[in-house]
Amino acid sequence: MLLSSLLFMVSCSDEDFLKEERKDAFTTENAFLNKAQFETLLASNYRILQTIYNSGDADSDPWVLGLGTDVCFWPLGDTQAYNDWNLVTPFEAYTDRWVSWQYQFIRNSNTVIDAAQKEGVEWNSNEERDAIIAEGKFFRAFAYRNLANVFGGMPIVNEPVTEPKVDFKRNTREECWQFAKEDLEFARTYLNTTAKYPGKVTKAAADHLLAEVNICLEDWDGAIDAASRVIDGKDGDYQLMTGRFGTRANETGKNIFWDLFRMGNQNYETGNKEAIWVAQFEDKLSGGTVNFGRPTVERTWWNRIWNFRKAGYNGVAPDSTGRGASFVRPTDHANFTIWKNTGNDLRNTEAVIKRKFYFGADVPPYAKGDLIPKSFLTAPEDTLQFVYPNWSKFGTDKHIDGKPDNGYIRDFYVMRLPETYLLRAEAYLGKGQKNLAAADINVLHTRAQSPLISASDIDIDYILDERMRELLGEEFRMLTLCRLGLLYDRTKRFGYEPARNSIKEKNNLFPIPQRVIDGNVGAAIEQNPGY
Amino acid sequence: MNGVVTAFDGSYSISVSTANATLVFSYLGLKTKELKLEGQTQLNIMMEEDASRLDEIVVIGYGTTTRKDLTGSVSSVTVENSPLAIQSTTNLLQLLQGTTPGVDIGAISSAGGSPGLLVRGQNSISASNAPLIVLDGVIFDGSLNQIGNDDIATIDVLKDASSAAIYGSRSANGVIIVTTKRGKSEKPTISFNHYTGVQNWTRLPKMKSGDEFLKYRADNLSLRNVTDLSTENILSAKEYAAYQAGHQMDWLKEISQFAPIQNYQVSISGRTDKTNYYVSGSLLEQKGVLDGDDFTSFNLSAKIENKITDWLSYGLTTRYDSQDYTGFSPNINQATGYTPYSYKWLQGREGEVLDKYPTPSLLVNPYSNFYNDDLDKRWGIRGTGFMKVEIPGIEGLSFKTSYTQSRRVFDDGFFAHEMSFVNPDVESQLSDPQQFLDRTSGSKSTTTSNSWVLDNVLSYDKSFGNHKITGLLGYTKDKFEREAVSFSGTDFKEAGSSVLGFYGLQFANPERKGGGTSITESSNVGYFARLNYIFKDKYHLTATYRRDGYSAFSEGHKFGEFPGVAVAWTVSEEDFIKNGIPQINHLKFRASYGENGNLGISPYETLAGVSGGATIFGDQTFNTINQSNLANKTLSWETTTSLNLGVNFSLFKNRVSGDIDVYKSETTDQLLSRRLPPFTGFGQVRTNIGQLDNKGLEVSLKTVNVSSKDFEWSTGMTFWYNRNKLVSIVGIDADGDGIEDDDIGNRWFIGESLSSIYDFTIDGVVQTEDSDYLDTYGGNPGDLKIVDINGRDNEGNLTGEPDGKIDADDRSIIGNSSPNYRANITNTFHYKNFQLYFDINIVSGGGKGNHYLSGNQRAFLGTSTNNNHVANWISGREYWMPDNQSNIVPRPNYSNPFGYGFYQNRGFVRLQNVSLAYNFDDGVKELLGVKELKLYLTGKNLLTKTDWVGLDPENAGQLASSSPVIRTFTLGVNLSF
Repeated sequence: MLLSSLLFMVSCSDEDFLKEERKDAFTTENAFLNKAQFETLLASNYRILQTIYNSGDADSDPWVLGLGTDVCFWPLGDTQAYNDWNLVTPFEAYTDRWVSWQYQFIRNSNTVIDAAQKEGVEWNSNEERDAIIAEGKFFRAFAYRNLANVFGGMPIVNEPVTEPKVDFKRNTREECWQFAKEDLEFARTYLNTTAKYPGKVTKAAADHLLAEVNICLEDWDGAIDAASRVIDGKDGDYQLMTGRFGTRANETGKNIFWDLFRMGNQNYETGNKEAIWVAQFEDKLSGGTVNFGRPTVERTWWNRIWNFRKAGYNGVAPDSTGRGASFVRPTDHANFTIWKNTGNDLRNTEAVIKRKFYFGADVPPYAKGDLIPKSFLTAPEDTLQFVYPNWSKFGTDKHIDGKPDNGYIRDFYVMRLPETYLLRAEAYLGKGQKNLAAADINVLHTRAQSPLISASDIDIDYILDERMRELLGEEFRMLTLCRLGLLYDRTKRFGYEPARNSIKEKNNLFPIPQRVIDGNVGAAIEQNPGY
Repeated sequence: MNGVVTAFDGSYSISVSTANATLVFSYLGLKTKELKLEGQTQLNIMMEEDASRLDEIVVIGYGTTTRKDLTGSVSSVTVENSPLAIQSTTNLLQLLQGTTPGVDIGAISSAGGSPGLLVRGQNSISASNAPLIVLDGVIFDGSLNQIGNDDIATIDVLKDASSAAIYGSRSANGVIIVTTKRGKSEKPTISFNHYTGVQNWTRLPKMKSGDEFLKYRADNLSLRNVTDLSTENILSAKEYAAYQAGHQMDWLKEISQFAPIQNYQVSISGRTDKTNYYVSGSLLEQKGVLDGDDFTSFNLSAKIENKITDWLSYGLTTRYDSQDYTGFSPNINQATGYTPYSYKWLQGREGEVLDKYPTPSLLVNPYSNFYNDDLDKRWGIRGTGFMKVEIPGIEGLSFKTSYTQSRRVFDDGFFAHEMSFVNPDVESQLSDPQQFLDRTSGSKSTTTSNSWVLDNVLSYDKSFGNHKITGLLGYTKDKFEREAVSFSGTDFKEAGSSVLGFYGLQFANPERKGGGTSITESSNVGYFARLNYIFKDKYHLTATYRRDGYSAFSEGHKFGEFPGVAVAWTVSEEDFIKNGIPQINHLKFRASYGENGNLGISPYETLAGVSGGATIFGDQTFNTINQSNLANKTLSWETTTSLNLGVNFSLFKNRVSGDIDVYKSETTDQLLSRRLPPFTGFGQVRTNIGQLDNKGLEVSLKTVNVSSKDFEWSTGMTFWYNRNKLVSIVGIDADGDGIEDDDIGNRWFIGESLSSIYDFTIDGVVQTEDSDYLDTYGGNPGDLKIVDINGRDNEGNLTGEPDGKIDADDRSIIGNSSPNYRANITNTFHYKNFQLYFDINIVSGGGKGNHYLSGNQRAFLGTSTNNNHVANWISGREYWMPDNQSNIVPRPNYSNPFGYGFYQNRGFVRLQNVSLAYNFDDGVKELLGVKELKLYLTGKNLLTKTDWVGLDPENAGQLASSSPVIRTFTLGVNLSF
């Protein structure tokens, strides 16, 4: 034993003995060397995208969809942030989270862009490499648009961070948009026209985003050209769906706007020709959801009729109503005002926006199944929580496995062709060509069987209302209103009352999260005015 | 001069040349006795245990010394045969609680749990602060609850840098050396130790019920736009049914269980002149205070040492240990918030189907794991062999090589059966749980750690004349690897049943099962040397050096060097005291200085790692991967340099004795985990930068107050405190004021304590009539009244004056989370055969720095956001309402928009241990034929005085989010023959 331990001591040098080798995981040295590995790296950006739609409960996910603005609000108390805009401070958590996600996109994208150009990477062709780089640049542009729209200028990071850098400085908002534009010009050139898998970005997605960024830069022609490439089929065959389609197309009494949000109907690859970019969700599949086993969209947006005790409900949700929790209620502007003078707009039919609710049991003088009349809804909570319009785009009457609480799992439109029309209309308006703007909106109206409008009807308010009719709960309303500088104005006029009373002009830009400022110890990150 | 060794039964014979010879009787651990023969031919002596602390053996790294010769700051705790031995503790660290100044031990809050441990404060800002544990001379990487308390002989804590330096790279956080029992008598001793007891919560909070609960619910909803506050409307349908049936639950009581604890230990030990052996087995069965918290541990150990020739000896130790933590405890968070108007079981299906959702909210039955399977078993085996050679020809020189191999296995399993997915309120689900088979899922994993340690030490020990020299040279290397294999599966629809649980995962849907493998490896090498020199028992010098390498540091930066030196002067050996001041029995001054290293990072932290996950495209799963951390190509040691000054004294015939130490340390090249700005895309990075200083005072005092034939009373006192100060972090002075900037994001403030609490200043709660405040700052009555303490001028510089708005500038350092000081008082009384022991533990907050604050949000706000409109809350605590305006607790729906931490002082005074023991008379023992017979009663954590609201202050126990600290009563017996 003595001998063997002596032998052992001399037989192995200290250097060899202490050498560290990772045997069970990749490092940056060996993780990004071929196309398959880059695809895997890019896939992490799609994971972040899923997270945006499926990270928190309550009013968390709807934040970016316009919480507290002209589209929706928290009906369960007036003294919290976004009903009370005074509480939107640098300590507010949703804005903080938003910054982190964007810089994770940027980190991953910078790794892609940088590593793909390194020597020693196996590529079959330059096209293959450029398409990978283009996808990285698309996400980087997406992130800078997500940042610049709500915060104004943020630091531009255009290469991988390899040192613990703590002295970032804010760029201007224009520089961010311009940076995004350059990335998107590259992306639209080198991305493929059709996606290899559902959910992957394409040329059309790049042009769609470029249209918006060009609007931000007031490059109206650039915006019109980009949108037109999508609309005119240059980026692929995109068309508005006009007839019934998809998994439940045979059910009567419904229409195209109902079909668009049935489970399984969102992807271009399964026949939805207006889907440009779709965030992917799937039940019971590894990577299929992020939190809670499903995005909480139905729970979040729908009313809790199933627990409306005084109307005869017992608190057990059936498949037919779903199990809404009324965390977020569309504003009265969204539910009612925007539908004035819209004739028989298909988007406002009972199938698409359910407005009628019925007694769950006999409540004398009413019988089970009677329509709950307005006169019955006397307490404020009655219409804030229990009976308000349920938009069918947020839920279903036939849940997976019949489970009303978490059986609605569909994909989310990040970009849909109607928005491309709306972006082009906005650009035409910017350029002063109201007739062309009206024509684009009338394309949507024609499909919706809504009365056509004329050039004189067009202004930015009209476009923003049309966005609500078409895209409520889909578009990143916070970003739209902030980029237009109208978050204050629209909320002041159309928001929930406590929000109207507390919103201030400074809210057109969000506060830079204090954690971001505190963490950047090497240089000052200037706070936005008023915070 | 000649000598002999006694025979097995203690008999001896010796030939002497004169009738007036002197016989010297000596044995390790016993008092040496000298007797003059004075013509006698038979001399029977009874040896006594060595009671003087000065001759106590103190275990230092790779060797031992005596307290008399010690130069460093080492606290020794004798467990064997002391009042500590019968304390009802399940983890030996608790034996140090309060008895060793400078060592902070936390509370235990679950069966088989381990307490927190910190020696001389926090040296490292963000690397590990865990002390090194050494078991019977070998570095130990396991958990201390793998060792039965009844096997412990002594615990020694190396606190100062020079003592610890022998363990170089791992010593900066202190070294705790555990030594197990050895054979003591030639006659084999068989011991049986047993205790049995019960446990409960130290503080069981009372939740609201009845009218108080209803009022809280109504108040809560009234602030959330609900106007119909009738009982029928504010309760859910199911709650209302329970209400009408007059049924209420006390959920915290419901989730508590009768919690017995039982421990058995048997040992056989003995020694001969050539051999020493100790064999033991122990079994501990403990139920925690929460229902289902169940712990069983079993230990077996054997230790044998044999001297085969004059120059060669060997030894072998093996230990087997197993712990079983299997079982679920109910969710204490849910139980705290759960409505009292609810049932545990579905009516008519008691014991079979849980009543799950009493309200339409996220509140679910605390027993939601009732349908699930759990497995959590661990076992380990560890063997040490050594061989020691007394090198012929050079007296005092010896070489010892020892090799330790250990293996630990963790077995984990989990399975969720279909019933966990059933909503019992839906008949179609309840009648057909099988429909959820596609949701059932489980996992099983086995984690195996293998490690070995090789120590080679050359020692020299020699006295000549007035000189005494001991020295050693050593080389050590060790290797650790941990491999894990796991498998998981979901969807057992095609299998048709989930009854096989986690052992039948192979029957899961083929598309939804899979596994993973992993391995982590690390290794160390070390070279060390130590020299002790003592002149005339007065002047002591110790010099230590160690060079260490650790695999997890960057290439080319793996090695560090750690020297230490200590001197001591035993003044009491000087003639002027020896002859002049008889009141002083012992007085020694010590000074030491040294450098210690900290390697407290995990393997691979210096590499730019990537981490992965999954996403989908369409209905296909794809892997994702992204860079998860920044690389660091120069990461190396964190070093603590410290100075220790100390004195040991023993006065008035040893009636008063004690130690006082002061220390100051600087920890540089911090293995700092810096939080990075989100712009980098990374959360944090590990770098060698920054400096944290610690200083402190430690006092321990022992007095023998009364010492008479039948009655003895002794008192021990300890007092210590530690303060740290952040000297520098990354050295950035962006604002150009010549002082390094604070890093507010990390809560690091230059010149301040690392445990500083940085937050808003609160002046109660905004009242309805505070219109000035509301007009200026906005908000609503019932909000926290945050004080506007600072603002900025036009150039953006802080003014120190209010500016009419509440913002980030209004934060400041408002307190400190570390204690002001800790103190402990023990009293031991012996009266005839009785021994009474108790100790009072004091952890003090407050003071100039507003110490020992801890966030206690649950004492101010209801439970988590999604449930707070329906959840229950603590009884009897007033909260703000428009018609009853509290100035302490805000309105029940306050959303805490500034993220305030709601601090409370958690200082406490506790009657920590009480024991009463009875030793039977010799006559009785003889009659029974036993060597020792002792009966005892103990209690732990009996009384606590504190201002903290919620659970136990010792673990900063917050309502709903912490586990209960355990109070224990036991009855025990020690028997040996």
